[in-house]
Amino acid sequence: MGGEKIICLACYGERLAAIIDNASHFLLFKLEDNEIYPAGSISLPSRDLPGKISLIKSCGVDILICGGISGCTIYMLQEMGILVIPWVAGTVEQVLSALKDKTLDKLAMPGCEIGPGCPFRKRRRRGRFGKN
Amino acid sequence: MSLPKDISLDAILDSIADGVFTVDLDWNITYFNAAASKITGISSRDALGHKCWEVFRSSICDGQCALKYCLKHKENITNKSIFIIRPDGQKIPISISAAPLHNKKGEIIGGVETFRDLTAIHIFRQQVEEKYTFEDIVGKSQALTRIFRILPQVARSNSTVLITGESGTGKELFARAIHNLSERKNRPLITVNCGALPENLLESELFGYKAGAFTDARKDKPGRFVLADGGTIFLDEIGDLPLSLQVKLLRFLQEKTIEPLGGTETIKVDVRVIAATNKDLGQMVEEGSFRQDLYYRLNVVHLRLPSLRERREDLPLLINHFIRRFNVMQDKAIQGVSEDVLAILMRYNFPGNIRELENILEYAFILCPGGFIQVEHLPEHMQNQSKRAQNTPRTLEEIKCQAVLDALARNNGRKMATCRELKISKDTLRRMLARCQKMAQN
Repeated sequence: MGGEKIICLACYGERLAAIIDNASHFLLFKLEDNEIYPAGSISLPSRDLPGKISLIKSCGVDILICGGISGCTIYMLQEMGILVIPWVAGTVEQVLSALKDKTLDKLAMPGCEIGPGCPFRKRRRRGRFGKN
Repeated sequence: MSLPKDISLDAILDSIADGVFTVDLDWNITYFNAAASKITGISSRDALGHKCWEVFRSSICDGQCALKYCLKHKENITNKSIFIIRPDGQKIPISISAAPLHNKKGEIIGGVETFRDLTAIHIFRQQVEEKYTFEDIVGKSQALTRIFRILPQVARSNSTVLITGESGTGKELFARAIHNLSERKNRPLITVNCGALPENLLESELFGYKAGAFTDARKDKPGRFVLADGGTIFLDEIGDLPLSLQVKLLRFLQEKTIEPLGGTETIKVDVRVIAATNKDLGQMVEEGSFRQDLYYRLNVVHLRLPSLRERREDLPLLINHFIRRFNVMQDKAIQGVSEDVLAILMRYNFPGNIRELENILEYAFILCPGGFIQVEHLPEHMQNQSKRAQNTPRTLEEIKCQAVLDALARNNGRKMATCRELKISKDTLRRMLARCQKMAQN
């Protein structure tokens, strides 16, 4: 990924919130030359989702990593130019380590998949003759 | 009374319509019945052994957990209304009950939560209360993109909004979504159709009157602006507002005060105005039938809603939405529309926009006993139209356009799949759709 990017984790306590609507704070990180640096924290006093969306936009976030999120909210954020990586579960520490190792797909919530558009998962190599 | 020993508890729990899951003291899921899988969209195999909040993903999972409360206070919770988010991004309203689980010694070993899908009740309630959010606006087309992008910011501002668009494009739905997204959402949203009332009546409805203002005015009557204090007033068909009332509305927008009929004092009210029209206000200003100064006051934020012809790729989504809704409201199990019906709908011009699509599907629901809606279930004029269309000679451009729309219909509106089928690039498809829209408008 070229250039500097701002990553936002939608958190509750020490872990990602189960759904973005419940997030108590956003943790911001700067991704530069494949290194991740802390870039601040924003506490969210209310559970109001439109307010959270506006805040994400005004903070210049490029990538949002969160737990559950409605399809409509994903669409709205994508239209703002934000890459949304949903259905991630785990502590902040686990997520940061998975971002560095490009193993975020291993933190997918049960029954969910972290899609191939995610830059923090290793590309799966297929055999010469396909899967099997 | 206890269960006979040869009856499996699993079989009983899997046969009930309510979702049931249990957790241990570390919040790991230890049981997940069939209904729980159906409602949450997560199989029992995927759920078992995982933390309950990772599986359940509800509005109370972070900090307001019902199970945690039960275990801490040793009491049950019943019928609490919350929502969950399924892996497909759908928000499902549910009601939950929770209780602690004890072993034979009476020690707490975990908790049990049962839950019921409230989607049907939610749809009925929404129909009655007309409480819509932006999540109720169905569509992913380019034409809606800009509106979606600015909707949260527009809603949170206090600015006057002018919504324009053809009849049936959902102007009121957008107005309600803006109100329900705004900080005024807990205050009233008052709707007034400016075209539905004669001038004098409209004036007293909007601004109220004082006792003695006219014959039969025996006591003071508050107007809709006063009733909407702290909230929003939605002025539908604003293009039909008489010139004399345009002056009074302008005064309100400038000074935030109103004067009831027969009153001598002005009243200060805090009301946000959302106005809507299917008329061209700019042209009305030029013709002198709409005040220019009011037009500029109303036109602070302008949302132009696209017609259904301009967002044909949303048709499959809208059809699914209405089928789901009608299935719930009419207690039917229609699975969808046949390919032929989808092709007819994709070709149809929809002069009445989404409202017309809704009416067409409602008609088809009356005639269709089950399975997929077929051509014969459509209103007669659409069946005839499809026959006429088949016989009409077309230009090469029209044939190309038809091929693109048919492919889009076959692929349920999925653009990438359509591109793959037609072996064209995303940009070519976008250009073709734009040309189709232009042709449809002509």
